[in-house]
Amino acid sequence: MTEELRFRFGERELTAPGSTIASALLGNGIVSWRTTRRDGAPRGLFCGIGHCHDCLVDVNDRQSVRACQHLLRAGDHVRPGSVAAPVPAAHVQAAAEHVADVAVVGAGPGGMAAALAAADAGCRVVLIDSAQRVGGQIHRQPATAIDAGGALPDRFRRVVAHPRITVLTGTTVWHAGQEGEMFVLRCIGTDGSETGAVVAAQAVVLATGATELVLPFPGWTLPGVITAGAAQALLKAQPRTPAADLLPGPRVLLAGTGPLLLRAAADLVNRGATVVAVCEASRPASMLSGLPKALRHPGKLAEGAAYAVTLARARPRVKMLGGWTVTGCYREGRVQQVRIASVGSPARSRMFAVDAVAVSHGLVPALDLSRALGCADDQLADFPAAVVAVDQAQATSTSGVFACGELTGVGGAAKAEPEGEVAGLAAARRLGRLDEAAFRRKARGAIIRVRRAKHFALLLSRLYPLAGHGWPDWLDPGTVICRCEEATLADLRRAVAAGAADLRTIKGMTRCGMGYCQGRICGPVAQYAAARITGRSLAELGDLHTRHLAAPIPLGVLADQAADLGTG
Amino acid sequence: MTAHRDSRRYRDWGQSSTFDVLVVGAGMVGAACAHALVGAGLRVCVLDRSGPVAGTTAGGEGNILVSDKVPGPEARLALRSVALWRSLAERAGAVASGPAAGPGQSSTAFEFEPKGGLVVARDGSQLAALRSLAEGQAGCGVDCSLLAASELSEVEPLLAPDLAGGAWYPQDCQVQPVLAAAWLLAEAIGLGARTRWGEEVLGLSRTTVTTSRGRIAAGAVVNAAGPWSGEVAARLGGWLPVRPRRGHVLVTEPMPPLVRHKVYEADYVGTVVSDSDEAQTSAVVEGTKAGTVLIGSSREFVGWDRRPSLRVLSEMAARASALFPGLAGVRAMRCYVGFRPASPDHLPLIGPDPEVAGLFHASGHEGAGIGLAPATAELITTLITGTDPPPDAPSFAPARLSAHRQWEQSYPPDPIP
Repeated sequence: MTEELRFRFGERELTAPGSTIASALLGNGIVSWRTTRRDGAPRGLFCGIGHCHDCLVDVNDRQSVRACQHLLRAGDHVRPGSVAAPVPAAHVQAAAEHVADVAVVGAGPGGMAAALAAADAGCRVVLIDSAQRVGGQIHRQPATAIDAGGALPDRFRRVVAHPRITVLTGTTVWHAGQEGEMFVLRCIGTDGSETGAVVAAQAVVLATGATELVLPFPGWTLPGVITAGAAQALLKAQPRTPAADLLPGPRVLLAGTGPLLLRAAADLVNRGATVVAVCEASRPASMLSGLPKALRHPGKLAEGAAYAVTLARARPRVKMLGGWTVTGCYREGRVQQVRIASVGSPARSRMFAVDAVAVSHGLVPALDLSRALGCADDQLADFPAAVVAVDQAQATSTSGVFACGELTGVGGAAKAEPEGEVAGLAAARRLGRLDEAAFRRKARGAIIRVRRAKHFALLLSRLYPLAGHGWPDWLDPGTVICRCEEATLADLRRAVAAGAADLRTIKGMTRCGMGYCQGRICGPVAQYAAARITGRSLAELGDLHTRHLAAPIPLGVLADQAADLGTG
Repeated sequence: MTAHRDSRRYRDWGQSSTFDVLVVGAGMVGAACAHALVGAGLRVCVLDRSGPVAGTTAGGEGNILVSDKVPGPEARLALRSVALWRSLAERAGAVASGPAAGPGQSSTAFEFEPKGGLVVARDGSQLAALRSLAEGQAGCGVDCSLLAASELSEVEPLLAPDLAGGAWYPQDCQVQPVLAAAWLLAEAIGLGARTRWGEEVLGLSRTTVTTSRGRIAAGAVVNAAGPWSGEVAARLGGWLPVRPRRGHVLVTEPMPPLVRHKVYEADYVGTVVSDSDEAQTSAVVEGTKAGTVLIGSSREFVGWDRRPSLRVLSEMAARASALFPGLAGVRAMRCYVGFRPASPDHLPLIGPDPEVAGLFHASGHEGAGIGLAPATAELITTLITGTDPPPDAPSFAPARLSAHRQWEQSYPPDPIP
C-alpha cells in the first residue's frame, strides 16, 4: 500500500495517498478548488485527462497547474487556483535531445502496438505520452505505480523494457514540425515543469486519442459534474480504493449517449459506487435494430452482456433509462440534484439526489499534432469531429506520418491496437527495415482485425446518433458553452445573428475557444450548436482543432528555440 | 443628398439590389465605411465573400495608435481617427471604466481602452531617434512626453531596468477589433445598410457589379478588401498595389493586469517602414480586458502561408521577455497569424481609382487599419458625396502610385485563397 502523504490545502493540513492532486483533494471531500475569472463560479475536476484545464490549482511556487495531471508530493502547499502574477523565469533546463527512427505520440493501445511493431522490426523508437505511465485511457495505470508497466496486459509490458524503445512519459508535445528531412517534436513536462525534450525522427506515428464530447446543459459547470472518462480515470488511478472515496461522493448518475456510458456504469458498480441511473439519450427501439448485424461480433456482444449483467445485479438497483437526457444540475457550489427529461416528451422529467453526474456524448479525435504536420482530415457529417484520413497502411497525407486509434475514427482499443501494429510496420517499411513482402506478411492479420473493428465501430455509431435529442433547442440561453471564457448559448446565438458564418468568427465575437483549453472542450460543442442553429453543415462552419501551440508553453522556453532554429 | 435620413425610408430599397454604394469587404475598414456612408444618408450594401469580420481584422491586435505615425498627413489622419473612435466608443457606452472595473464588470461593447502607449528605447541611439520622431509628431498635434530611464517604472513597473528611456503617448488606444467591427456593422444595419455574405465580386461594368450570385447595381463601389483588395481592384478593372504582409501574435494565459499600456520597442517604426522581405520582429506587448497579454510583432512577405513560423514566434517571445522579464515564466496559450494590406510607400490607399469611374479604394493601411478605419471612412464619404475633401486627401489618393505601375509586374496580385 502506498503511504499517506501530508500536504496543505490553503490553511488545512491534509493527508492523501500518493496520486494526482485532484484525487488527493477529492479524497478529502474537496470538490471545488478554483473560481472562474468572469462569474466567480466554483470549478473542480471535469475531464480528468488534462484537456479541459478546469481543475487548475496553484502548487508551491507554480501557478495554474492541472490538478488531474500534477502528482502530489509530500509537503506540497496546494492553493485554490488563482489568476496569478507571473513568476520570475523558472530555471529552464536544456532540453534533452533524442534522435530516433520513429517517434510515436500517445502510449495507449495504438501507440504501444506501433512502438512494439516498429522496434521489433529494428527501428529505434521514442514513445511519448503526457501521462505519468504508459497505457492510455483504457490501460491507465496508477500514476505512482512503482512497476511502470505492472498493470498492463502481458503483450504490452515489453514496451517499458524494450532495448530499442525510449519511453518519455509525463511529456507533452507542444510543437510539431518538419525541419529538413526530420520531423521534430518539441516537448515539455506535463506537470508544468520546464524539463523539455526535443525528439527528431524520420517517421512519426500519431496515436493521440480523443477528447470526450459533452453537450452542455444548465449546471454542467458545477463541481461534481464530470465526464464519464474522468470517472474511469479516477477509479484507475487508485485501484484499491472504493469509488466513494475517489469520486465527489457515492451516488452517481450517468447520462449522455454511447457505449462508454454502460462501461463506465459497470466499472463504477464494481467499485462499490451507487449508480442511481444510466440515462441513455438514444431510444431502446432504435438500438435493438442494430442487433442482427452485431451478431457478427460475438466478442463485443459478450462484453456488452457482461456490463448488462453487472448493472442488473447491482444493489441498490440501477435504473436503466433509454430515451432520457439530463436537462439540469442544481445547488450552489456543487451538484446535489439532477433533472432528467424524456427525449420524446420533454415535459416528463424526474429529479435525483446525487453526488456526481458523469456525462459522455462520444469522443472527438485530438487533431492538434496531425494538423500541425499537415495531415488531411475529414469532417464527419453528423458528429462534430473530424478524423485523420489514412490508407490501408495507416499512412496520412503527409509522407512519413502515420496515424492510428481514435484519431482515424473512434473504435476503441479493438481498432486502435491492430491499427497501431500496421502503422508501426509501415513506418519500419518506410525506413527500409522491412521489405514489401515482409510488411505484407506481418501486417495481414492486423489489417483484417482493423476491418472487423471498423465494421463494429460503424454499427455502434449508428446506434447512438447525436441528433434527435432536440439539443440545443431546449437549452436555457444562459447555459455556458465555453467553460473557460464562460461564453453562453445566447452569446453564440448573437454572433450567428450578426452574420458570423464560421467557427473562427464566432470565436472572435464570443471568446468561445480562447481560454486555457483552446477549444478542446467547447470547439465541437460550438460547432454542433452553430450547425443546429443555422442549418449549415459542420464542414461549412469549420472547427477549432488547429492549434499551432499544442500545449501552453512558457515564453522563456519559447524564446530559447530561436538559437536552435538558426535562420531557416 | 440629405444628411439626415429616416431608416424606414430605405427598408425596401435593399430588395431591389440598387444601392448608392457597394462596400466590398466586411472587416474593420468596410464596416466603418458602411457605417459612415449610411450615416450620410446613402443606400449602402456590404458584401463579403465569407461573412462579417472573417479576415485580417480578426488576425490583429486592435491598435489605435498615433505614436507610430510619421509626422505629416498620416499622423493627422491618425489623430482625426482617434477622435472619431472616442466618439464612437462614447456612443457605444464602450469607454472603459478604468482599472476599478474588475472581471465580470465589463459593460463595454467593444473593449475600447484609452490606455496610452509607451515606446521604449534600449540604447542611446534608439532614444535619439525616438526624440526626433516625437518632436516632429508634436508639430502635428500628437501629445507626447519623453521619459528618462528612471521614470519608466512609474508608467510600467515591471519593465526591465536596463532600458535607456522612452516616450509616453497618452492618445494611443486599443479595441477588441472583432467586436468593434461587428458593432459598426450592426449599427450600419440598424440604419438600413444591407448585407450580402458568402458572395464574391467578379466584375464591374459601369454601375453594375457582377458577383458570384448575380448582379448588384451601385452608384459607387468601395474596395475595402484588405490584403485581398489588389485582387478585387483587378477584378473590377482597376489597379491597386497591395500585397499581404504577414504578422504573428502570441497570446498568453490570463493574468491580473500587469502590463498597463501598450508598450513597444522604438525600433518598431523602423520595421514598419522597412521594405525587406525577410521576417522582422519588434516587441509589442499589451494587456487585454480578458486578462491575456498580446505579444507582437512580426512583418514578412511570405504570400498567404498560414502556418506560423516557430523561429519568428521564438524571436517575439525573446524580445517581449527582454522588455518584461517576468513574462518569461508566463505561458503562451496560442498564436495566430494575420495578413496586413501593405502598400509600397507604407501610406494607406484611400480615394478614387485613377482609371475606373465610381471605384474607390479604402485599403493599404498595413497594420493600422483598425486605428485609421473611422477617418478612412470619413474621407471616403466626403469623396463619394462630393463634399470638400480635407487638404491631405491627395496624399492618400491611389493615383500617387501610378508611376509605380511596374510594381505590379514584380508582385502580381495574390490569388484569393
